[in-house]
Amino acid sequence: MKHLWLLGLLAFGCGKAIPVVAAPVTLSVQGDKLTLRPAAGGRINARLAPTIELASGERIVFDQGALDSDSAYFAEPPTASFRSGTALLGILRVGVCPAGLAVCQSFELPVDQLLTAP
Amino acid sequence: MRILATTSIIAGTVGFLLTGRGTWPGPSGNLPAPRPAPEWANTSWLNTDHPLTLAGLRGRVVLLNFWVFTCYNCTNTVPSLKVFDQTYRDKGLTIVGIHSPEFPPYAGEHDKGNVAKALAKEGILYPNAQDNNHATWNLYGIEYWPSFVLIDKKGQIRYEGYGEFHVGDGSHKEWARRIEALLAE
Repeated sequence: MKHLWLLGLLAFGCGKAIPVVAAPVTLSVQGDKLTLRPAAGGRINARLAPTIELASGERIVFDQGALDSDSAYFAEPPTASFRSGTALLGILRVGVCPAGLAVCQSFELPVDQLLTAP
Repeated sequence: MRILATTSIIAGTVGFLLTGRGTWPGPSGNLPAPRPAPEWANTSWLNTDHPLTLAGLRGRVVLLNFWVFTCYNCTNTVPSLKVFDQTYRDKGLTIVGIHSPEFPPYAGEHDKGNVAKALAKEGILYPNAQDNNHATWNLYGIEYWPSFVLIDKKGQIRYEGYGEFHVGDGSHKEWARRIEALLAE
């Protein structure tokens, strides 16, 4: 944590490809429901539903949630349900398109490092 | 420390947004110096009866568009690319779509039939290569959808950029100016 801000400033100042400092999304779990939220200023691509690829080989797809008028992005944080007892280990794939910047990036993130309580 | 921590979150988020080449949004500026465009080796093509090669396009200006049909920013830019194709194809421009999936095959982006449907839906007539393994994406060091690489008649990369643009806006005009400049060389 001590040096995180410095990395952030370097990222801001250099404008070069460096490791991502801030997670582009957060993932929370409540009961059997997962909710995915974009970082401030981000939009989640709804044309390519975010998907958790579990270590077991199963997939959890975030396909529940209101879309914007173009059906391009989730207007509300997308949610997904999972079976009770499922070990939430694996990776999350999600396309994030920062508002106003007119590009998209694809992310592959470890679920266990994203999970937070709601 | 609280202020620094807050700064780290803000700067980190902004850093996430700004990492990469060029200037947001739209096309980046001139490259420091032209450099040879690497030859691609894609084998699956649409809108052409034979695989295109960079060597085979020598003498033409080539605009590579890295895109995927699930990317809204990409499809929003198609009208501009179609205008470029209609305006400049006969004058020596070849637009090559490099269709680069975001997700694994289960998402359907790798399927040639789905790409063909997308081309038909968008009215895209210029050639497109399937880049399912991201070989060409990686070869050109691409990071964002959509991205663009403009190659001159000698096979040199002259401009690179990324981000959605629209017919008539500043980025569209800037790309048009660049294309015209290279066509005139």
